[in-house]
Amino acid sequence: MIVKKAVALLILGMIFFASLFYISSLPSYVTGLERFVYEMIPLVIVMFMLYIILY
Amino acid sequence: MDMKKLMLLLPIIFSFAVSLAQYIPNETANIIVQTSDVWGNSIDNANCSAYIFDPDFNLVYSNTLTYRNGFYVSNFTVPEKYGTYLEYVECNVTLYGKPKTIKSAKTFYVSSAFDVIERQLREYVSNVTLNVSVSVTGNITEAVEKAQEDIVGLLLALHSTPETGTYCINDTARMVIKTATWHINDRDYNITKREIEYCEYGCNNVTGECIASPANRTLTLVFIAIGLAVLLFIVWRFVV
Repeated sequence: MIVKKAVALLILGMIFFASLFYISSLPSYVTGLERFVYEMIPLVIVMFMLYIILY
Repeated sequence: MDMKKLMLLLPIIFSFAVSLAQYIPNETANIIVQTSDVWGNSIDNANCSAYIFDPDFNLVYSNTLTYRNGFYVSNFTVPEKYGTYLEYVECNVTLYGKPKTIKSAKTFYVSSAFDVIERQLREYVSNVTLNVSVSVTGNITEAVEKAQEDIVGLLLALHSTPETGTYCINDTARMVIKTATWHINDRDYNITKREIEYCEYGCNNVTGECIASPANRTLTLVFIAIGLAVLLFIVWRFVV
């Protein structure tokens, strides 16, 4: 089970950093709800990682 | 009116040819003149002189042409001053015992090798600005002729070359800059291609790129969201 969790965290970690990179290069014309959705992606992933670690 | 007088009224065909209409400074160019009567017989007793006037109409060259195999020829070194030159030839012929003077004029253009290449390239491409710099070794005339083919090939390659620079001109247009360096046949070509691109949904001043259409942006977001949801579901299903 621990190995499965470790692999899952590794995959999620990679996605987390990829999404951070994507947000940092997000064009300035992307604003409002569209930008909010993009910026929520790493947060959702972090929450999921925390869920996997804690449970 | 006797036959001889009637023949004098017949026009004399006077053809005047130069090998090229465009020259590069210090290149050797030929003046070739042919005089013939209406029956096509060449007149070999003409006394032809050539005069070349620079763009300011100053006489820069004058010489008597030499008769060779039916043609009156001479060569001259192209002056260094850029612009349109006037090439003027005057031939004195004696036809049926009567002296007659026939004249002809033609223009040619002198410019740098770069200008010649650029001008030729503009015939192939439109809506773009090109800066071409060429280092030429050897015979300059041959180099320019070969360079034309080479650079046209390079232009085609430029279509698949990534942009090296871009900036917004205004809200609806951007300037795309593509640069490339090519080395072939001991020559270096540095080409900068500038192309104006229309941006339907506006131009991003920070990146200089066209703004994607709202439909495409929404579609991208939906795909990312779906992909993420599927990934999280898989992780949750098999790990937790």
